Amino acid sequence: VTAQRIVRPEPERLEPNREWPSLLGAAAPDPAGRDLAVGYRVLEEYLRNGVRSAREHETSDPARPEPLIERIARASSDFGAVWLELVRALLSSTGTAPHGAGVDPGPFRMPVEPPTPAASLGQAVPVKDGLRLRVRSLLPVEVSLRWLQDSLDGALVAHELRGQAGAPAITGVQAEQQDGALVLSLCVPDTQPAGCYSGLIVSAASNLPQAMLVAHVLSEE
Amino acid sequence: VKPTLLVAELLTEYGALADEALQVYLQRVRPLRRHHDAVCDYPRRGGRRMRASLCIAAARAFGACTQSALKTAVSLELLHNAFLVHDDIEDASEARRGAPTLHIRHGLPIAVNAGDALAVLALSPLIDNAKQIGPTLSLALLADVQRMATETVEGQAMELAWRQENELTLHEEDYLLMVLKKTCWYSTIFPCRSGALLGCRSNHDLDRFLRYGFFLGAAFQIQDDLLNLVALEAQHGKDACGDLFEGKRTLMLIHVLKHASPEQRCQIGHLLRRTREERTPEDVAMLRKCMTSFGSLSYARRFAHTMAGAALHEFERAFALAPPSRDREFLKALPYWVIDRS
Repeated sequence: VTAQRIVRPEPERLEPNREWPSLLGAAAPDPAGRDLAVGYRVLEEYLRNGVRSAREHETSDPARPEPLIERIARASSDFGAVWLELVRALLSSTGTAPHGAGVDPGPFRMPVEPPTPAASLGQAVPVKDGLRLRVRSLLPVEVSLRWLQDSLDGALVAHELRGQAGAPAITGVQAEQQDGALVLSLCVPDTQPAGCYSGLIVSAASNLPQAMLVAHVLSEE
Repeated sequence: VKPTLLVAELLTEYGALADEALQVYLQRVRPLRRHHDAVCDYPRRGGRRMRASLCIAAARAFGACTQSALKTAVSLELLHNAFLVHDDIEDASEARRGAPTLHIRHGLPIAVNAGDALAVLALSPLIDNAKQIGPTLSLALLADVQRMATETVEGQAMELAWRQENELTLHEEDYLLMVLKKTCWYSTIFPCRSGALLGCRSNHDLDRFLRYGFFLGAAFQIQDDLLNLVALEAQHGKDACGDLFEGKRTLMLIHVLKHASPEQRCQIGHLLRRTREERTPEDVAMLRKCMTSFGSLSYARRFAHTMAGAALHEFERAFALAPPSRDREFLKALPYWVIDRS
């Protein structure tokens, strides 16, 4: 008896057939078409993953632009700061609160010398003895003050800050005396184009320039 | 003009311009002992400057002048050479552009440092770009360079992990994703994106170049892997069958592993587990024979042709807004050239 060993034939494939059109009885796609489908599948999957990670990045990136609701919340909290500052100034001027060095500067003043860049809405920044700078802006602003005289010549008048040709001037600039200290207020409109704006602070009596106020309005990006 | 001749013509023309601009940056390398020679070695070995030419052509196709794209093209070439130095170390390659690889010539520590120096040097033209194209566009370009470099090193990481873990169950999809990240991003996708960015002065819808770049780059890589198997060292400038000695997961190897019997697969698995030094010419001959008997070379050739065809199709979408020009024709002819080159 010649016992020939029965050998299982090699299977046609070792993996499941995922070409679903052929499972449904359709003719098997041509090899080039299959290669092409593989290429596009990889590409589309890659693009989908890219979009997904971009979205994740967007929600976790601390540098992303502030959503509107957060902007509103920040603006109202900053307005509160300005309001407190105003109340404090009024109390000082009516004599209700003690004047001078004994006044609690509150949480909105930063004892920084020389001028602080990027002052934000409502912060009163003492830039020199007897001088306060108040900036109201939702845009990032760098403010600096350059003294042109050794001593101040009485009451002061602040000119509007002018930028490059075509850019509207910043008109919300005021200089006033409060308790012997000079208070400079600067209000930058939300629509102010980014750029460098400057204007003079002059003596009300002699019109001689006393200082130059420079504001760099930065774009929000 | 025959498409492939046009490609050869522009590669020579733009390659020479990029080469000249490259020398300016190589002159900035300080003459420290051994350092200068090692850093300048690969860039001075020449090469086709395909990436630089692609960047210049894409920029010109969208209306930019050659000068405005030259610095980005140089940066790309420097980064390419930096990648090559480190790739050769990681792959333990022995020949590059017809000469010993940098680590064979200068030793491992100096070669690693030279690769780092080239990558750092690649930043210089990008910084110099700001004077020419302005800070906004330069920053947008730098952001894209960062993305491109990240994709490239991630693609390389994928391939290195496959080899280290002796991965034997790869599919075409895995290979294509690796090639998309490792080769396409810096060889074809970024040159087109940066060119369009410079030409249009906007980064609007740059992703359309991803499709063209992916198919073109995939065809290029598969053809490159095929040439590594069939060309002689003198023709290819790299080790003959170097990819087999390295155990590189090419489309052909994936095809072999898919079609091998369980015994054969086990044998190939053992063979691939060895280090490059342990792998013998007999091992390589066995792998090469398997590729012939399973039709892996024809399969890869067909795959490369399909990818080139898809690139041609995607070209029309990516460059639809570019007016007719010699540069546009060059970009359209690239898929033909990729397949025709030997």
